Amino acid sequence: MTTSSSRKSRILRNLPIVRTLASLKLAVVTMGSLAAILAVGTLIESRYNADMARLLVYDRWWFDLLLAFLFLNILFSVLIRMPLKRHQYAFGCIHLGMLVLLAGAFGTRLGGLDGTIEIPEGSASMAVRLPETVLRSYLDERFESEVPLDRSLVSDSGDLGPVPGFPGNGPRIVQSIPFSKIYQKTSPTPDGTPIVELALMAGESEPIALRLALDHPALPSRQDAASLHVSLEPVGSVAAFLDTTPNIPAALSLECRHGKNSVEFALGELVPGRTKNDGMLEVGVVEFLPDARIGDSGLANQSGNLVNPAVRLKVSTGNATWEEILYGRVPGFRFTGDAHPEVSWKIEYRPHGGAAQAPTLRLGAAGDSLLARCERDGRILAAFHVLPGRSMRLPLEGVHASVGTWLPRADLRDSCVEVDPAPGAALPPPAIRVGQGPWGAPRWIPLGGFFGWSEAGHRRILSHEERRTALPFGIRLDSFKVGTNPGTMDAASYESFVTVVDSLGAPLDTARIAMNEPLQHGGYTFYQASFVQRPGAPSTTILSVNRDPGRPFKYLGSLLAVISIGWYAAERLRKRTETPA
Amino acid sequence: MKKFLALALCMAGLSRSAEPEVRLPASVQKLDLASAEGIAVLAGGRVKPLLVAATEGVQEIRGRAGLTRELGPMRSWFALALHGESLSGQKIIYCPNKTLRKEIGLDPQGQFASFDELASNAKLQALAESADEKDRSRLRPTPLERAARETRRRLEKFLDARAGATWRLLPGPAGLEGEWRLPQEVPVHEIAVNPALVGRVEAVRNLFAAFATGNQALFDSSARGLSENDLLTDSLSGLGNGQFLRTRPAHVEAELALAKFHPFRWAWIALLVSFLAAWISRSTADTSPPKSRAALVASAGAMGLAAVFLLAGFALRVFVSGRAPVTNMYETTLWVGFGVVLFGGPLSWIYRSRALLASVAAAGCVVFVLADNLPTVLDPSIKPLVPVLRSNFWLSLHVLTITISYAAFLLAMAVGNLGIAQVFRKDSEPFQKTLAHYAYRSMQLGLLLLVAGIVLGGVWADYSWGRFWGWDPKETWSLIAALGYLIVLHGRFSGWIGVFGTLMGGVLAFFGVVMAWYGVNFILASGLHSYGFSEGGTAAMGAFVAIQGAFAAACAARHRKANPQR
Repeated sequence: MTTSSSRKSRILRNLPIVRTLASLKLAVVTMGSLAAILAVGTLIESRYNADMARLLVYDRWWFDLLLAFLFLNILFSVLIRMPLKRHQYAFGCIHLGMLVLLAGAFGTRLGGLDGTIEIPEGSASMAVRLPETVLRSYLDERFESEVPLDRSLVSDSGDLGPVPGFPGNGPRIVQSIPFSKIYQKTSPTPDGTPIVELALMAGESEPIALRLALDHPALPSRQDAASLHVSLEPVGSVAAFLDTTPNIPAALSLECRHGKNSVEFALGELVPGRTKNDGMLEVGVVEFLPDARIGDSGLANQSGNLVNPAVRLKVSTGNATWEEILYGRVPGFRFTGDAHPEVSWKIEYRPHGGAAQAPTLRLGAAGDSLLARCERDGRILAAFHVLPGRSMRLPLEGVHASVGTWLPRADLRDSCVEVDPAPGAALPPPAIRVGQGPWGAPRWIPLGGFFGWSEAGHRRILSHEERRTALPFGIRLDSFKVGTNPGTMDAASYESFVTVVDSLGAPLDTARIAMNEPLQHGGYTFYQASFVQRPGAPSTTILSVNRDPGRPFKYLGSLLAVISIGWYAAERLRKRTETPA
Repeated sequence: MKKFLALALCMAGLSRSAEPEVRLPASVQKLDLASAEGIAVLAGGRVKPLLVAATEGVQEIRGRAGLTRELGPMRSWFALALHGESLSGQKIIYCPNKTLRKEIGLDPQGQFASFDELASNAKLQALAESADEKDRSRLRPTPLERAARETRRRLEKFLDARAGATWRLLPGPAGLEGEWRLPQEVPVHEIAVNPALVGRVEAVRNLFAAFATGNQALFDSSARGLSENDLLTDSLSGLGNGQFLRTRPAHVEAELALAKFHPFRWAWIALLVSFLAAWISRSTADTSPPKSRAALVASAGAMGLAAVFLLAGFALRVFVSGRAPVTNMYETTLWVGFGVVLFGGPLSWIYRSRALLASVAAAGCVVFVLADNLPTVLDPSIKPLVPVLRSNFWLSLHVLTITISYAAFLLAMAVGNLGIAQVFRKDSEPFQKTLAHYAYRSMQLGLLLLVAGIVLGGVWADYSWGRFWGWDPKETWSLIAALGYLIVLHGRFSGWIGVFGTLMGGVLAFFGVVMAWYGVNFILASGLHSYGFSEGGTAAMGAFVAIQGAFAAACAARHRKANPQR
């Protein structure tokens, strides 16, 4: 047995390919090349960014090949020494550890998942975004099929592959560019969707251009700009949209607080003579005017509608008694001014229609006409027909608005040109061009873009997206918190409080995800990666999602390598009494 | 070794160039401020002694720990609060970046600028805001924009100091851990029920009045009141538990001791003595009896003393910060210096080698001199940790292991330099052989630690970022450094390189460490290890690389000439 195995190893050892692959000098050359290539990779990352370094170096086939070559090199350096002698055991274990580690790395590359999931506060998501791109087709808004796109570094044209959703000799991808600049053009088409382009001007500052669209995933239907909410919506009834006194019931309530005591009045309780008390605090209604007006003879009521409600109250705190008048539309006003700071008031008034609190410009698309409605603090300030090209002075924050383009049925067309990525900036998106299809002339689709057309009564969409994959469960973000160091604004912690939900939304588990405190569920691990906080919008947490089949190999290989390096070093140090070098 | 000292002195010289004079009333010089140094204050997210807060604050504004050389941090800090208005027009804000100065219309030759000229500079604000905007969009600001932001930060610090907003001397309702308040922020109803709080607010007022009028007795008594007063927590927490709160807890005492005692400064002085003594005791061959036995004993003793200073320094720092001392460039530099002494001392003893002792002392000394004298590059302040670094055992272990491996490599580099320099001496081959052996052992030790550190980093990254390895520049460069040493060790094993090659390998492979340690954070400044990013020292580091490279080339040329057959 021993003879046969030693003969085998002798034969193996004498093969020239084996001797070359196992040679130490080749190992030195391989490690040197790897070091040089890695150094270039980090320089690329420093000049551009991590995506660029991945595209140019770490995700290239030849980089995998180099690592595979290193794997063979290490493998054969051990094989050629088989069977190992006692003093070579440590050497063998170090190299075995490296092999297992590299095997783990290949395992991750082949079967791992490394993506991100973005969840706004109060919502749940199961869609993981992956760093790859696909061309997807939708039929009547339902996903049909997709083809993966290769992220290459050079532009290319010719037949670059099929378009999903068309079997056989259908449309083809005819051109691709790695980095593009996108020009968007809107043009009227009979089966398009409403698009409006407007400019907002506030004071002396530069005009802010907005483009809103309905039912158009590439364009938003609402945006915040110049401290306004601007939105575009379909309008069913023009008369209802333009009616500034809609018939949703108005509401009024008020609360008086004095130290720990408080009394509350709902609308129905505002009847003259009604008194409420809590401890020493006593508040009585003297007079209630639903639609008050200040005339020559003081306050007078105009109508029974709750339009400008005012209430006259008698307040007593034990120490003092006085009369107070409050107005629903002016919640900060006190008839007595600052004379009674010990008592605080909270007045909530919602007029008819329940209009928005924050300044809002609502645009309504009604057939061929465009309507606008300005709302603020629960009031509809104005509603009117919009004339494109005419500047409108809005009764909101002193903003002027001007609608440049109004297309009731339009199509948005992207046109892409190749650009060079700029150092230090985000990479421009790649773009492809699809041709030979029922949509006519070849069309560009940049990453994040799409276009649609109608075909035999169905609507089809082609979209260039990041690849997404669905988790077998969902994650709901209950709340997101940023903690700070005392006395500073420096972030000390980021925490996402989440609930794991099943595909029907039923809660399975709750967890707190923070830096260094990941959540593990169903073979996936979730880490706090980033977040987005903007005024007026819910916080959005960004978690990285990971599944790594190579993980056990990596841990095993690392452990083996480190322990055996220690073992090797201990053996060497024991020999220190020998003559140096 | 001499190169290092020359370089350090040269850099020290550069930072002492001509600068505009600072005019202050004579009264600021009057008092002895020592009694106020231990007052606890909340600054930079942490409760610390006033001396430390003042040193860091003045450092941040001025680029060094005093408005003038004579004034010192405490006096400068008081002067900023009391005479801020008159200082606003004077050139005291550190703004050394020449490109930035030219861009925003300052004299490119100067190092400082006044608050008034910077605050009204629209270009500076625009550049700094552009840096913020790029951060928000996850893009990298240009060096010019980063420099502008740095200057704006100094400007804001000056504004805070001038407004007195940096004197958070009064604990709030959450006690020591929560928000501390300025005297004017304490509500009247709290003062009314807590006599200790009244005393404290009064003492703050008196402290400034005493400084302004030069009243030493009043100053000392109010300072004592502030540093020793206990506060009744009743009014702070509303719990009514009748407990007293020590406003100057043990970690503040420890930090004051650290700030006054300067253990790391004493360490480099002891190492310098050790180096000089080892040098005096040297003889031609490393193994022959020393010329002066007393000098050798003195050298070993001085190194032992240095080790004691270092241990004391680290113990205090760890106690104050409550974490492993490896969270920024300054701390890792100290830790590497400590590692050099930790490995080199025993190795010199095991091998009975004076050459090794001298190399260890020299390398350690240079490291601590740099750490002690370049506060704008290596910031010694103890800051609260960024979220990603908080309370993690694996992380501490990972960084401690990686940086201690740099110490072994630094030792190999020092020994390597000594070894390759032997080509200029006759009959030095046996000595070179011995040195090569030391360098080889150091590299082996370093590699063991580096690989272990990289693996631990992988474990931590897997735990914290969700992947074991992600080709992040810091990860990648530590791998490149490891590959460099692996090449040397495998090259030696295969017989490609001999004695001289091993020594040279120890010197050249250290460039990989320089890049992984300094370069990624200060030059590349990209990737996920962004909490260590900083600026400055590039010229000095470039000079080191150039001089080291030239020296290695000269030795190689000489070696080739002497051994033409190789």
